[in-house]
Amino acid sequence: MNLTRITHYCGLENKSRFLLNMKISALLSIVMIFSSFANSYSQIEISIDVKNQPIIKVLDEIESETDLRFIFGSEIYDFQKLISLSVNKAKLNDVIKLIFENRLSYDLNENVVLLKKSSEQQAIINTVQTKSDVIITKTNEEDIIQIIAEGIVTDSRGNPLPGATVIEVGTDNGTTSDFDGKFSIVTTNENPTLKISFIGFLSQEISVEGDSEINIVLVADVSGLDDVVVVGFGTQNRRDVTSAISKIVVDDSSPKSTANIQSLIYGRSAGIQITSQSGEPGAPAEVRIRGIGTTGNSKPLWIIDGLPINVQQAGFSTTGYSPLSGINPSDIKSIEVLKDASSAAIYGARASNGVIIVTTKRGGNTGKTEVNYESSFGFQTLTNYYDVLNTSQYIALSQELGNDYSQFSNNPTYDGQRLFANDNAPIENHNLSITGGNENANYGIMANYFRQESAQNTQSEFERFSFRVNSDIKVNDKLKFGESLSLAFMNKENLFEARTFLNRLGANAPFVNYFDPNGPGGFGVINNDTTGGAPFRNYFGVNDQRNSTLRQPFQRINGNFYGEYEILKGLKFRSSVGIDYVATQTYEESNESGGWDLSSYDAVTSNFFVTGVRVLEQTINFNNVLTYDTSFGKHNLKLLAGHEESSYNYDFINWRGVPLLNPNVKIAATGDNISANDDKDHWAIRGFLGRVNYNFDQKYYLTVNVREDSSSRFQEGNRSQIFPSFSTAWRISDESFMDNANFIDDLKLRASYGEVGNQLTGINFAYIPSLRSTEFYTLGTNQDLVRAPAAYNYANPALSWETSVQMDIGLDVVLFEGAINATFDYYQKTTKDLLVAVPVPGTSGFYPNTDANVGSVENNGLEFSVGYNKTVNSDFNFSVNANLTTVNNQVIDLGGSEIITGIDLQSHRTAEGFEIGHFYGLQTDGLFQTQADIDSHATQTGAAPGDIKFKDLSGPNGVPDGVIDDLDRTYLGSPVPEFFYGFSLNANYRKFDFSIIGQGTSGNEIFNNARLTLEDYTNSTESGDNQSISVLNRWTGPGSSNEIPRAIVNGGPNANNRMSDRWIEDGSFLRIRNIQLGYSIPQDAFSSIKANMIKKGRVYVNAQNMFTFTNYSGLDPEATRGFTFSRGETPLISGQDDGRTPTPVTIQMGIQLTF
Amino acid sequence: MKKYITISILSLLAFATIYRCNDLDLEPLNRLSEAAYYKTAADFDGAIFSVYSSTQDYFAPGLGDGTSGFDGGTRMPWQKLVGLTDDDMFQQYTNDSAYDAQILQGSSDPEATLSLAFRVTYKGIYRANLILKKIEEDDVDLTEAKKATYIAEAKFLRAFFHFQAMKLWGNPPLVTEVAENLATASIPNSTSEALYAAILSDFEAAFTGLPLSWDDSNKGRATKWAAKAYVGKVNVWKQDWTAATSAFQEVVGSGAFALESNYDDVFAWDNENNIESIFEIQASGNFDGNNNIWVMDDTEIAAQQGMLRPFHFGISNQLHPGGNAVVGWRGGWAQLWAATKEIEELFEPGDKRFPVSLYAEGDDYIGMPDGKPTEVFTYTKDWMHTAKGTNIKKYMGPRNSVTENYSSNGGTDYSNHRWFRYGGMLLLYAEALIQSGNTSAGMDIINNQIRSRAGLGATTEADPIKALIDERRRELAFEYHRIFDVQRWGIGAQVFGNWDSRFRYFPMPQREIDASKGELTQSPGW
Repeated sequence: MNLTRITHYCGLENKSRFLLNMKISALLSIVMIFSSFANSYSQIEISIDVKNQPIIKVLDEIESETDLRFIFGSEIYDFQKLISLSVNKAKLNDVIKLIFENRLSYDLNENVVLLKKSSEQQAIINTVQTKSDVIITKTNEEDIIQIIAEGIVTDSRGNPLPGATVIEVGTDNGTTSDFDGKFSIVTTNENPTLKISFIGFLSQEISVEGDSEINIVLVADVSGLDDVVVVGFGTQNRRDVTSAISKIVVDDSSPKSTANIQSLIYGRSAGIQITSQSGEPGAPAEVRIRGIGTTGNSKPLWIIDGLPINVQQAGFSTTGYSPLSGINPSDIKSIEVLKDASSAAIYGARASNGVIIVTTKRGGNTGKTEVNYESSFGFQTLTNYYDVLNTSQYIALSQELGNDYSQFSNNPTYDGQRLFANDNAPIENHNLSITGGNENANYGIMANYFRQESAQNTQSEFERFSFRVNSDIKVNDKLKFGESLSLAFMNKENLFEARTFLNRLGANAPFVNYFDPNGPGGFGVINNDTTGGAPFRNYFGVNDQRNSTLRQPFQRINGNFYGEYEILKGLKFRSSVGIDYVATQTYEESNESGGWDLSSYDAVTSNFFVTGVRVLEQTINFNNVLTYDTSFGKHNLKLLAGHEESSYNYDFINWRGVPLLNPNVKIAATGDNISANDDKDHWAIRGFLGRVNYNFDQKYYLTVNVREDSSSRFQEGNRSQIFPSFSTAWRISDESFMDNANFIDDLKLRASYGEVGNQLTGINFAYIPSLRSTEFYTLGTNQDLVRAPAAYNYANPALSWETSVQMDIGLDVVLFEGAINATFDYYQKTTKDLLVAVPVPGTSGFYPNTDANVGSVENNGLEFSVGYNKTVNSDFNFSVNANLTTVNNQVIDLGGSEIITGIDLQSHRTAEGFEIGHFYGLQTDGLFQTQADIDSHATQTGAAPGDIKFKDLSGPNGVPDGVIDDLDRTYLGSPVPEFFYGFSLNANYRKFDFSIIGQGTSGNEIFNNARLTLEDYTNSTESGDNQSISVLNRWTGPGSSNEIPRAIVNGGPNANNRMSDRWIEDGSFLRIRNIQLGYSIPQDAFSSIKANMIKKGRVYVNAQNMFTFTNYSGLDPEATRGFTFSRGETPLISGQDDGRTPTPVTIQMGIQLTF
Repeated sequence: MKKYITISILSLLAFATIYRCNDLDLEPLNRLSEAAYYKTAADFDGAIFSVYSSTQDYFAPGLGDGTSGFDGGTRMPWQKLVGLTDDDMFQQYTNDSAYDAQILQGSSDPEATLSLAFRVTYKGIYRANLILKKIEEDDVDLTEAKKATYIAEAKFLRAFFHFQAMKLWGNPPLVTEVAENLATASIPNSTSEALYAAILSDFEAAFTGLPLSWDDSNKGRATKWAAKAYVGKVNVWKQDWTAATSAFQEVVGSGAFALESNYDDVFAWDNENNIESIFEIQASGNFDGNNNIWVMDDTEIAAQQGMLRPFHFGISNQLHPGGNAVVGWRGGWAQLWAATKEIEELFEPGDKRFPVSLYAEGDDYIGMPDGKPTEVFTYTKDWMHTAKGTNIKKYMGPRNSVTENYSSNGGTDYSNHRWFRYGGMLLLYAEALIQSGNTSAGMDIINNQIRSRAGLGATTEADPIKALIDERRRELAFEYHRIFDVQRWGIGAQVFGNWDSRFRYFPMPQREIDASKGELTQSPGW
């Protein structure tokens, strides 16, 4: 016998008393055979044959014949219980399961077997694998069987819940449900009470009477206290979270059949706002967490399965797509949004705009394979068009503007918007996922095909093929490997210059027909005979695919490989290497026709060309993390130390061949003129990180994060920065003075403070004086081009990080047994040393603004989210969730300067004391009705009756000076909403489920630039000169109108079209994002299918963007993302509606099957 | 246990320290580090071309400076500031030719235009200064003779830009060194004395160091006698008539320049860098901004080599009743820049310069239905929206309306801008002679060189000053000299009526005053 008191055994739960395990002899014959894998005790093979022996003796016998040593607390099981067991060459694991009827688990360290109560679900849901050579005999005469209770555990829709724990209350007796949700338990009492519990669901107790089968319907636990929340480099229980993290679980109510992952987030989380660029398939969106903290890059950091990914848009075309469209929404299990500095600080220098962690699905460990197939199909339709003048109205207006088109007055009205529209544009999505695994290995294999046509035209579409393989492999109890690998292949086809397409179609002269059977390619000829000189562009002819195509294929491959080794109990080392590879191409190719010259009936051009752009971006991430988890007494401690580095490489090539030998071979090399261009860039960042999570009795919490980052984007001396953060929490509900407040399940007060950074300077290497070689001069008799290398940007050696200092106070509440849960947060985020492109004095020799650390911006506000769920009866339950976020955005300091900028007009300003990128211009005061009005008003050059009257608000001395000029420009509103909100409703009635997700903003303004085009009395071949029907109410004489100015070309000398509040509108809206009705197919429906192949099935219909409530006069209050060709996405110019494709209404039907 | 933890932490740190495949001392991959350039003659050629390249930016079709509104930025500061503000050129739809109003109307954002002119100027000065600084470094691999030429050329250009700044703002900053950091980049206003001294000293140094001429492949670079011509011109501005006269006398005596016998030849696209040219801004169609793959990003307009005249001077299709695209920008730019009635009426009958400078009823007008000047129309003034004037023909006549001279989109042409030509210099010489009392010699130049080439007899104007003023206006119409002449002669009130003393100079861009943190002051009265 040996008695070894191993007191320093880490993680030992029961130190109270150790049993001395006695050897026994006789009555049994034992053969022990050591396996060849002598170094691994888990591989020991045990043969034993005992009859009616107490367990303790059986264990002693094993100890005597092997090197194994058992340690356990005597109270965890009845070790005197008599058992009979006969096994031959069984694994330790199986033997323990047999002896303890699967109710104890164990840890194996070297040769020590620590027996313990099963604390983790996975330990008890594994069934014993019965090998043919294992004989089990189990005849305990004294253990009289009284009742065998059998039942099935399902969720409210009747889907079986495998792995649910069923325990006979008051005993140690328990089991788990199998893959079909079925369980069978031998109870020890006559009228037992069973407690059924499952993660994510409220536990239920049920008393068993009689011997009928029990059907247990578990209701989802919305309190989420036991939810696992993914945080940077680890996970936490929701209960233990001390910072502001939102978790979005992707479930049946999520609109997964979309190009973009953002659709899963809409309305689901406080503090996160999404603005799309347009309703085109795969169009980019702007995601902002808690306001806009900077004038530069305001994108959050995206982490997918531990790998930071590149979300900058590489394409430099406004027909671009979202880099996030390379991630299949159906692969996603959950999305965590790290909003405050405490949660984000572990990502240091890239976290100042918040962090979004995406976790994809992985296999389980039930030993069964689950095959899920989901397919949906639907249609999209535009519901809004611009109301423009018909032929007779247009001709009348043109007359007034000095153009006579009366010869066309008998022509019908052709509305390009509707002619071009692709009504009932198809959208389809097909997903197949295979998940499975056991305790040693699991896998998830997913495949997706998605295709969406544009509702605005038949020539734009987005298509995605994606594959994903996620797996985890346990080599032994200490060593584990795993990977996440995703391959996604996308293709987007676009119309050329689709930026403001709808609005341009609307603005075309309405009497000109786009089609003519006798015209080239069947298109209308555009010349003086057909247009009379009216600007008209035949977009049908120009964009016809026989002419040319614009394709944007793009591929995203990201993979992350990790290894994890448990050095000691609780002490783990994890190393991970990941690559995110994005290849982006743009091909403009002419096709067979090569383009019709639409100006005459027989004109054809054939200047065949091909232009290609290829951008390769590669981000490599490498991190090593050491974690240590321990508990002593009521102290719980988690420590983390690590190192992470990322490097980014950019490679661009662009080529062109023209004219091509033959349009069927679209190879630049076949062109007479071939040109090419390339570009390269790179950066790297390295960080050291540490974190301490401590709590006492899950009541008092303290978390400290520190990260030090160094970036190649800054000069040596400014290269490194430490980003610290702290957070604490206090579980008030566990205090004794709360004992009487029984209705409070949980009440936790949180506070955090921290600093995070932003390394994304406007241009890379902004600190190194360097010359561009793309500057030229012309010289010589032949006027040859000569290179003239010169510095373009002022190199600022002092450049350093932008730092965001964030404070958060929050309260988490769960009431009435989880029926109500709520979270409140107050946040204050001050971004200082803003990376702003500041003006440099022209005398320096440079005119582009230079990157410098200037000024600060503050965002503060409140976040509320509240959920209520109720189970009315076993047939009906529902839950309601709502959230609301307020944002106060203010530039505190901008070094005394202001930035006035815009896309077409100088429409936006960023200045101290106001929101970033607010609207800026003159205030209107109706129209001048008479010359007397003009004479009595401040001097307004060029004004005539019927022109817009502007307010004299200021002058050179800051007071009205009697002159209308740029000094009278003022604040006109802001694209930043006062608050934004979301809500959802989920209800289940018998087999039906129903959900609604809504979302909206309030108090934001929009610069309706699309309306400007349609009310400006200006013509151009780009946008035509048709006008909105609103101009029918124009000023025609005193008193005729006080809103729409007189008809005068180009706005006239008074510049009626200049930036003013005339173009600013309230942009508040409420949109019902998704409505879904599902029906779970009853199990019997599949009974005819062979061998119950189909385990469950569900059909659903959903409608996206069905209803939008707004006073905004444009087509879509949401398609207002700030984007320009040269500067990409910038917060300085957001909230501008350029008439891009509005979000269509989408109706889909789908089916989900599980095999 | 402790041992395990210690070992693992140490190994983690060791691993992280050793693992340095991510070098953080990276260099740009697409730009040349300044430290690696400015060594060889080829380097200094490139560097000096970059100074010349700034002269093109006065006519740039757009500069992506990040502060102006449209992606392409503000266009053509020189045409807008110096062209539209005078009484020869106006913009359609504007009824007021007053000087200050013109500044506003010539540009949707006058501040941006002023600011751009300022920055283009000082960009050139900085680049010249950088050469003068770098050429003195030890590891420069140049012969002394080469070095002397580069220094002379850099000084010529530095003086050229300072002189432009002086013409615009009177006493702008004098910058002779490269700013070492942002704090020292703001330079206060200088004085006219200091500026004249510096400019003249640079031009004199250039005269000493520059070659008489350049070989064919370098034609267009500054020459010795160009520097001397500028010495004369600067002295005219300085009103040092003696110094001006002697400098011009030397230039004339050198025989380096002469008048083209045919006025039309001066501006012909195929007669660039001709005998009359003292200094030209080079432009070429070798680099088509519209189709060029190097200019995929419209912000890098520094690569653009075009002049964009048709974009503004061409008649767009809307203005031609019932016509398809006639000439110029097919996109329909509706802000036609045209000639005023006053300049049209100033020409005497038979002046050969008129049909080169201005369109008249019945002229051939080459239209560009597809970006190619192929269609011949008969010009009619009805194409104008107002009856105030006519269309500008200089650089835009049939002779220049050929495919090779136009970009494929029809918006840009490639004729060099004759910035300083011998014809203009002769009139300055005449002015210096008249002002210094030698009226007959001055009138001799006007009558027997300038007017005789124009096919005119001696002027009937009795007042030599008035004769000079009118002749200079006719000779140099639409060449961006007029407003400076009006300003320096002090005849604004006669010309415009509502003249104000502050119009003597242009306003300083507010952006520069702000960026200089008060070092720079606003022009008087603005």
